[in-house]
Amino acid sequence: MRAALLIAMLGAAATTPAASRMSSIDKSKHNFFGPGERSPLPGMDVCQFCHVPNRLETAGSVPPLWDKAGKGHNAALSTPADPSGPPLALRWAGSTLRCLSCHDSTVSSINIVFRPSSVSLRFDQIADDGRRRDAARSTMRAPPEEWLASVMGNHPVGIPYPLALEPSEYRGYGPRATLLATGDWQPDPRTRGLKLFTDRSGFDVISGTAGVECASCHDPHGTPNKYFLRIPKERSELCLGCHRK
Amino acid sequence: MSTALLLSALLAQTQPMPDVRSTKHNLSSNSTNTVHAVSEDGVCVFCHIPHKAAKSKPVWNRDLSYQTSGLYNVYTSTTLDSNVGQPNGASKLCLSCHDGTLAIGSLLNNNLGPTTVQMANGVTTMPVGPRNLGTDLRDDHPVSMVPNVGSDPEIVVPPAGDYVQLKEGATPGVADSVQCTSCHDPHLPTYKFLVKSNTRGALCTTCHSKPGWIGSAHEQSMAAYPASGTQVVSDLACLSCHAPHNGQSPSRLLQTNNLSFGAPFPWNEENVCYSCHQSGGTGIDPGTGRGAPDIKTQMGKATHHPVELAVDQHQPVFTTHLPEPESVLNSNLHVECADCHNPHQVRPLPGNVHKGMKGISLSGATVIDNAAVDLKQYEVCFRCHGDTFATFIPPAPTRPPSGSNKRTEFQTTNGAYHPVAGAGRNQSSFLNNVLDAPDGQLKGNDWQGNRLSRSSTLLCSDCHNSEATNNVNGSARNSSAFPKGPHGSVNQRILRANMSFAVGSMNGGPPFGGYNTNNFALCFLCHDEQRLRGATVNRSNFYQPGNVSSGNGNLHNLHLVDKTNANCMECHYNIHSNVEAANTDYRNIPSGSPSHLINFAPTVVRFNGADPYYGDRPTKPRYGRNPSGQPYCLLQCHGSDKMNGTDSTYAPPSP
Repeated sequence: MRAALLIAMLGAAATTPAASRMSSIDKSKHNFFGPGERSPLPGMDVCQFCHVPNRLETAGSVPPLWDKAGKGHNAALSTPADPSGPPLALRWAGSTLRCLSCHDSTVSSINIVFRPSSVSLRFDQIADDGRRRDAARSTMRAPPEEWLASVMGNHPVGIPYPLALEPSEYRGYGPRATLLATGDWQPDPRTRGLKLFTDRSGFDVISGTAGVECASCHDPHGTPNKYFLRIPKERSELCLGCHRK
Repeated sequence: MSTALLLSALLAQTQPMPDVRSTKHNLSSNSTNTVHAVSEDGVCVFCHIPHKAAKSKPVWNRDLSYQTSGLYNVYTSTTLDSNVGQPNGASKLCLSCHDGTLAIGSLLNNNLGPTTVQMANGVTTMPVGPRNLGTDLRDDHPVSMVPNVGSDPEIVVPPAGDYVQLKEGATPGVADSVQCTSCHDPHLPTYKFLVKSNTRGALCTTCHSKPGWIGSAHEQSMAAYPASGTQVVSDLACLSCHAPHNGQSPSRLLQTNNLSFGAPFPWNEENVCYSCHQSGGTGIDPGTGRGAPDIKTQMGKATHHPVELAVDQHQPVFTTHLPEPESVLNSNLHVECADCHNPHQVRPLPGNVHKGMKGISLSGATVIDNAAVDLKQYEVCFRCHGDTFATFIPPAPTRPPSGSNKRTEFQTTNGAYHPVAGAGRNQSSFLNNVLDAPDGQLKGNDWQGNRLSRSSTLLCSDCHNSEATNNVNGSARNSSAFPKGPHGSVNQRILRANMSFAVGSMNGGPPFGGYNTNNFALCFLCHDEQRLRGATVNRSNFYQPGNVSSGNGNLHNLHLVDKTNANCMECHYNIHSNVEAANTDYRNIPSGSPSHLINFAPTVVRFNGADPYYGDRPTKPRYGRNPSGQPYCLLQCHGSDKMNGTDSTYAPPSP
């Protein structure tokens, strides 16, 4: 009985997206050894490109454990698209700030906080990444033109989501009743495989405090879909996961 | 997950709402729309992309850099109080397809770079048609405009919570502008993507507050338009005359589309009205049993208000815009339907067909019809037929002196006038059918429904009206004819019945032959013919006991029938008043005292001799009172000098 249950559970787990994502970081472009490549360096694994062990004094206080010094974001991103919104310092926070620590186009190399002392990490030891190669390995890629002046041109992040069609307060944005007036939202994008966040530590994501970050649509640990998308973008299903248009 | 959340999620799954995918804006390869992609199956991507989008809100997947300053011709009008600049905000985004410049499939970013998605059916840019607005936006409702509600009480901002909302414009973060998205939500599976239904003008009137619209003829009409259609005028409301896009007029977005007849009429003002106001223009309103009044036929008659002569001369006079683009005192040579009627407020007869208009009062002041003031008909007529007569309706060989200043003619202090602005000066009992019923000299009812009497007033339209209204005596208002009004007539001078203007019998003028009732049909609608011809008891006040001529004590009969076969106009040349009596010398009749509308035709000749009462030699035909107060005439008729004063003195026994 117990074995049967276990098998059943395993079978179920094997078909869930969560199970298929487990090792997808290795196959993704976030494996800087090269998608599908194993680490050539003893004591260095793929996780350490982003995360630090919690014993390290450089570990950040906010999970996930990140370089405490962090990375700023490109000054170009200091111009908010919505001048009536809260300060960007409030909004470029949490997981989005982690993403921007590379994706704001200021990172000049794979700058790793923790590595074994025996390891000399050089660019050529990192599997070739097309985009870094194109950018002469100076930056992750040429700064996107649309980011030079402001964040405009990108879907907003660090914004509230009307989970359960209730106004949310998130990252300095007060409850936005006007968003609800349009009725253009899915009650819970999580049922469609997307992710919501809360800016209150220790709280579950509940209506009234829900928000959207980069990782609402993208899973940096890799997915079966293009562009680290949590669900396929085909037929606009991704957009329609939140937007009831 | 809370129970409510679960429930709503379940509902969302079991009852899928129609969304953007069911609209014309679904350009994906899965769409059945005419315009759709060959293979791209994304829907949102034709407009939105989450990264590398245009610097716009919302993120926009089309390169807007071609929208340089001055690309668009924007809306303008003489009654526009707001500034309309180049499109900004969301309107720029809409135009990136709807101005027909960029290919529909031209995207900033699809799979990490610029892409031109191939569209089926050979479509590249927006196909030619009403949805392709072009870059000339003068025929479209203005957008990217901060409404100037302060200067125009007929413009209001939409109330909070309304589906219609102002949107962000030039000022980031401030929703202060009319944009395409104020009226359209490009995702809505609704008619023309409207944010709410425009039935009965509900969408338009969110911002356009039109006083008097509710209850107006056009708001109330249940006539089908087009005639064979299922929609009625009151449901179409604003759209019966206005087109928010692709209007035919240079401004104010008027349309001449006659849905009953097919292709639009050529642009001119009256064709807007004729879209409905012609035979078969609408169906029958079950409430009234009639369709829209056929004014076009009226305007095609021999004499009519010449609305067809001018194009683009007229400016609104019922606007709240100041200064008025067109003076209420009209000196700009034209006449259009809207010079007499305010289509937003017009009431059907017996209501005020001039409701909401401006006019000129008897004293020359501007009068505005509103809840407190009911504009009088003559006040509308005075706009053109008053003080501007000299420039607006100049005297012409073909035009009798009826082109004179009617405002001065109808002053109630004048000695004689037809009683338009007040009761007449002739208060003789012989001019009062109340005292002499039922065969009074006046007959029929006045426009207010009372028996015509010496205290009645007239409407201009009691004489100037469609000939069809001569089926009743008295006021034309009481006629069952439809439509009524001074639009046009088969008779001269838009007269309601025939009237002979042939004068000059003295000097070889038209031969009159004998007396003919039809020559004076107009007059006899109110003035009883028998009273004018009765030899003895039935008579007018123009009477002399005894033997002016045997059996002809009734001097009207003597002139009309017995002796001269004269025309009414020989002696009552300007029937409106005695103010402009160029060929009449009034003797011993002080200015302003009753003078019985006697003013002689230009062809009447002066008496060639001295006045027997006063000894002077008049230079014009004379009408006067002798020192005893008895009226007399001094002139030549038919070569005779019988009108020599002493022989032409008359003394009614009971004035």
